[in-house]
Amino acid sequence: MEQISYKQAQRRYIRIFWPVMAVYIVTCFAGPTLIGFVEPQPMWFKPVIAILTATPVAIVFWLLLRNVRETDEYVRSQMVSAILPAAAITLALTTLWGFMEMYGVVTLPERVSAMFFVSPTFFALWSIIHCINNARPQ
Amino acid sequence: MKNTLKELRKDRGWSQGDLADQLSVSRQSVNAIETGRYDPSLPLAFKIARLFGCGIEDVFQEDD
Repeated sequence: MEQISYKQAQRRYIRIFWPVMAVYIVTCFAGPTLIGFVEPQPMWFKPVIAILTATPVAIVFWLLLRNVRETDEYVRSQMVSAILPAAAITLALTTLWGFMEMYGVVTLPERVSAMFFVSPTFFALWSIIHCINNARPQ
Repeated sequence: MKNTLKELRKDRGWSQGDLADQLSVSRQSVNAIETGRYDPSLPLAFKIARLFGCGIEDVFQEDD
C-alpha cells in the first residue's frame, strides 16, 4: 500500500475528528434529556442511548489508529513512544483503582462511573509523556 | 548519523516546509533529521538522496 503524504494523513484525520466530536457533544446532552423526557421507556432505550453516546469516542480511537498507520515515520515513532507508556500507566492506574474500590478504600458519588476517567487519563498521560519525550536530549 | 541535509536544502533556497512537502513528510521530520534527533528509514533516505540528485552517502555519513 502506497504511503500517503503527512498532510493528506492529517486532513483525513481532521475531516472526521471534528464532526464526530460535535456528534459526541450533542449526544452527551441529548441522551440525559431524552432519558428524562421519554416515558414510558422501552427496555432497549437506555442501552441504545449509551451506545449512541459512546460510538463517537470509539470512532476517535479508530481514527487515532488509522492516523498512526498513515502519518509519516518520524511522527509515528513519536506517537508510539508516548502512546505505549500512556496506555501502560493508564491500565496500571485503573487496575489499582479497581482494587481500591473493591476493598472500599475509595468511592465515587452515586451515578459517577470510574470508567469515565479512563479515556481522559490516557489522553492526559499521552500529552505529558509526549512533552517529556520532546524535552529529553536525544 | 551525520547528514548534510540542511546545507543541501539551503543551497536550493528551500524552507523546511518546502522540503517536507517535496518528501511528503512533516516539517517536524525534516527538522528532526537535520538536527540529528532522528535517522530516517532506508526508503526515506533514498528518497532524500534522489531528490537532491546525489548518492545516499553524500547526504548521510556515519558518526566518527
